[in-house]
Amino acid sequence: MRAGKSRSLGNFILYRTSISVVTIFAASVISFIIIQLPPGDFVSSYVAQLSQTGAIGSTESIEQLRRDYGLDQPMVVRYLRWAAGAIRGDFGMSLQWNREVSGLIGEYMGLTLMLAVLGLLLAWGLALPIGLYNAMYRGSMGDYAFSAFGMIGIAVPNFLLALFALFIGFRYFNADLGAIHSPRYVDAPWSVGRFFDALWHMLVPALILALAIMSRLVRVLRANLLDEMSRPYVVTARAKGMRELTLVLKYPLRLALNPFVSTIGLTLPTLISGSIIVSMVLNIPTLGPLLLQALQGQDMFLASAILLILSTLAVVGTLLSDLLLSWIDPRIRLES
Amino acid sequence: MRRIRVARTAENHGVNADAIVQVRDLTVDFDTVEGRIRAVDGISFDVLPRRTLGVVGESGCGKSVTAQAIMRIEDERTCRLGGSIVLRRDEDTLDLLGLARDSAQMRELRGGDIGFIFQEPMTSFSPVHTIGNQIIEAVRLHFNLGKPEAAQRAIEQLRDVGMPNPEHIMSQYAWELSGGLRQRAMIAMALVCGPRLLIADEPTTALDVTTQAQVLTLLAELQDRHDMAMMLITHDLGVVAAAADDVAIMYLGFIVERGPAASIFRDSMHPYTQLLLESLPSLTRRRRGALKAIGGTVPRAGNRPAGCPFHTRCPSAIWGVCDRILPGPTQVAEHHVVNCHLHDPQ
Ligand SMILES: Nc1ncnc2c1ncn2[C@@H]1O[C@H](COP(=O)(O)OP(=O)(O)OP(=O)(O)O)[C@@H](O)[C@H]1O
Ligand code: SF4
Ligand SMILES: [Mg+2]
Repeated sequence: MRAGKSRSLGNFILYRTSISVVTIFAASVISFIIIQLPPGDFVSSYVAQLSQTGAIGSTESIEQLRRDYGLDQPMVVRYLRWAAGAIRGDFGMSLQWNREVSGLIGEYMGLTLMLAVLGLLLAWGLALPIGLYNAMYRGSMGDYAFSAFGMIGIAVPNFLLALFALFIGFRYFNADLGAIHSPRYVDAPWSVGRFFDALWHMLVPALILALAIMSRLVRVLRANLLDEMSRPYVVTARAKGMRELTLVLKYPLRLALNPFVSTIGLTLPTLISGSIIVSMVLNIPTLGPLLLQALQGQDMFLASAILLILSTLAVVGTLLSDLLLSWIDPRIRLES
Repeated sequence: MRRIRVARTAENHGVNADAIVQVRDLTVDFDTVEGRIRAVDGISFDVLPRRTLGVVGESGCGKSVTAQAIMRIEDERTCRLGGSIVLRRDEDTLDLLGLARDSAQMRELRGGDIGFIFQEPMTSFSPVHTIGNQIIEAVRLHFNLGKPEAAQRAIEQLRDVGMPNPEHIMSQYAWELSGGLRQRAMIAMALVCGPRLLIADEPTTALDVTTQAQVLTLLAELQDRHDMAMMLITHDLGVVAAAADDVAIMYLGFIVERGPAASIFRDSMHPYTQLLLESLPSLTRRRRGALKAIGGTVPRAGNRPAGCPFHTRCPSAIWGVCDRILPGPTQVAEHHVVNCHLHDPQ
C-alpha cells in the first residue's frame, strides 16, 4: 500500500500548494470586488477633494481621468488588467501618494513582517513553556497565576495595552514607543545595524500584539496536553521507565502541538490585523495604517494590493502550518 | 461432594520464599469528588518464578489497579497505596511501596525488571513515533547502548516474537499494522530488556478469537524461553484455564479465592468461582462475556456491601453472618486459600 514516505509527502505538498494557489486566486477576486463595492470610485472622491479646495475639474476632465484609469471598462476587464499587472509585481499607481503601489508597499512591508514575525515568535516562545508548566503542575499556584494573567491578556484589547505602554513609556522612561529607529538610523539605509535597532524597538509593540495570542495558545496547549497526558501511550512510556519530564516532552507535547501548529495559519492574519490598531496607536509605519488610509481615500489600487498581500500571507501561513503538521503527524499525510 | 478442609492458619498467605513478587495486604484508594473510594481492599498473593498467575474478575474489580500498583504507575494525584509489594531480584529485595514513584530505582525496575503489556496495542503506542523509535527508546532507557546497537537488539526482539520482516516493521507506525502484529510489537517492547516478570493486562481482549489464541501461545512460548514469571489479567476464565499455573479470583477489590490452577478448577470452594466455572460452557470452546451470566450486578466500588462483598449475589449466603462479617482467608488445600464463611471453621 505504502509507496514510500517521501513520495506520499511529495504528493501532499503538491496537493496543498495547488489548493493554496486556488485560494489566493479567490482572495484576489474578492479583494478586488470589495474595493469596488462602495458607491462612487476614487475619481469621485478625488473630485470631492478637489472641490473642497476649490479646484473643480470639468466634467470632461473627470471622464478623461476615468478613462485613463480604465474605470469605464466592465469589472472583468478591470480585474484581468489588474491581476495581470499584479503577477508581474505591478499594482498600478496610488492616487493618494501619486507613486507606484509596489514601491510604497515594499517600503512598509519590512516593518510589517518584522512586527508580525516577532509577535508570532514571542507568542509561541512564551506560550510553550507556560502551557507546559500549567499542564504538568495543574492546580498549582503558578498555574493559577498564569491562567489569571492569561485571562487579562485575552480580555484587555490590545489598543488599550498599547495606550498604556505608550503612557508608561512617556511618563517613566521618557521613551517614544512609536519611534522604531534610533535617531542615528532614522534616515540611514537598511543595514544589519539598522535591522537590529528596529527589532529592538519593535519588542514592546510585538509583545503587546503577542499577549492575547499567547494567552489563547497557553489555554489551548494546556487543555491539549492534559488530554494527551491521560492517553494509554503515555502510560506505556511511563511503564518503560521514562523520566516524567522527558516523557511529557517526547509524547504528549508532540501530539498536543498538532492543534497548536494548525493555528499558525490563523495567527498570522490575526497578528496583522491586530498590528493595524497597535500600529495606529503607536504610530508605527506598517501596512495596517497604510491600508486604512487607502480605504478611507478609496485609493483602489493601493487598497486592493494590500488586501491581496495580507490574504496571501494568511494563505501562506496556513500552507506552512499544514506542511509542518504533516511533518509532525504522519497520519495527516495519508488522510488526503 | 466432600471436600477436605484444612485448618485455618493465622498468617495464611502460603509460604513461597522464592516468590518474585509478594503482595501483602495491598490497598488502593482513590480520592474522588465523592470522597475516598477503596478499589482494592487488602489483597495478598505471590507471583512465582517461571509460573503464570491468572487474575480473573469482572470489570471494575480492581485487576488493572493492582497491576499498576506493582509497576507504580498509579495516578499520583488521586491514588493512595497501602500494604507492601516486595520484589525479589538476584541482587536485592525491594519494597516497591517504599520507593518514590519517579525515583531512579523505580524507573530502573519499570520496563527493566518488570515488563508490561496493555490491552489496547493501538492506543498504547504513540501514533506519531515509529515502532522502532519506541522499542529503541525502551532499550536505551535500560542499557548503555548506541542507537545502532539498540536498533539491532530491537530487531532481534521483534524476530523473537515471531514478527515477519522485523527490519521493515521498525520504520512503521502502530496504526499501519494489523491487531495481531501490533500486539506482537507491544510484547517485543515489553520483553526487550529481559524482564523477570511480565504483567499482561487483558492482552487478548482487543483481538479476534484466532489471534487471541496465537498471542496466548506466543506468550507461553516466550515465558518458557526466557524463564519469566507472568501475571496474566483477564475477565475470561477460559484464558486462565488455558494459560495459568496459579489463579486468583477477584471480586470487588478482594481476592476471594486463590491457588494452583489445577486445584481451583478441580475443587473450587468459593460460590463465586463455582458460578464462574458453571457459566463456562467448556474449557476448550469458551464464550466471551461468560461472567455476565451470573445474576445480579456488581455493586460499585463506592458502596461496597458490608460483610462478604459477594453476599448480594451469592446463592449460598448465610443471612446474619455473610451480610455482617467479612470472611477471612481459609487454607483448604496446599496453597489454595478461600475467603468464604462456608469454609471458615469458626
Ligand atoms: N483514576 C481513578 N480514579 C477513581 N477511581 C478509579 C480510578 N481508576 C480506577 N478506579 C476504580 O477502581 C476500580 C477498579 O478499577 P480497575 O481498572 O482496576 O478494574 P478492572 O478490574 O481492571 O476492570 P476492567 O476489566 O474493566 O479493566 C473501579 O471501580 C474504578 O472505578
Ligand atoms: S461468605 Fe457467604 S456470601 Fe460470601 S461467598 Fe461465602 S457464602 Fe456467599
Ligand atoms: Mg482493567
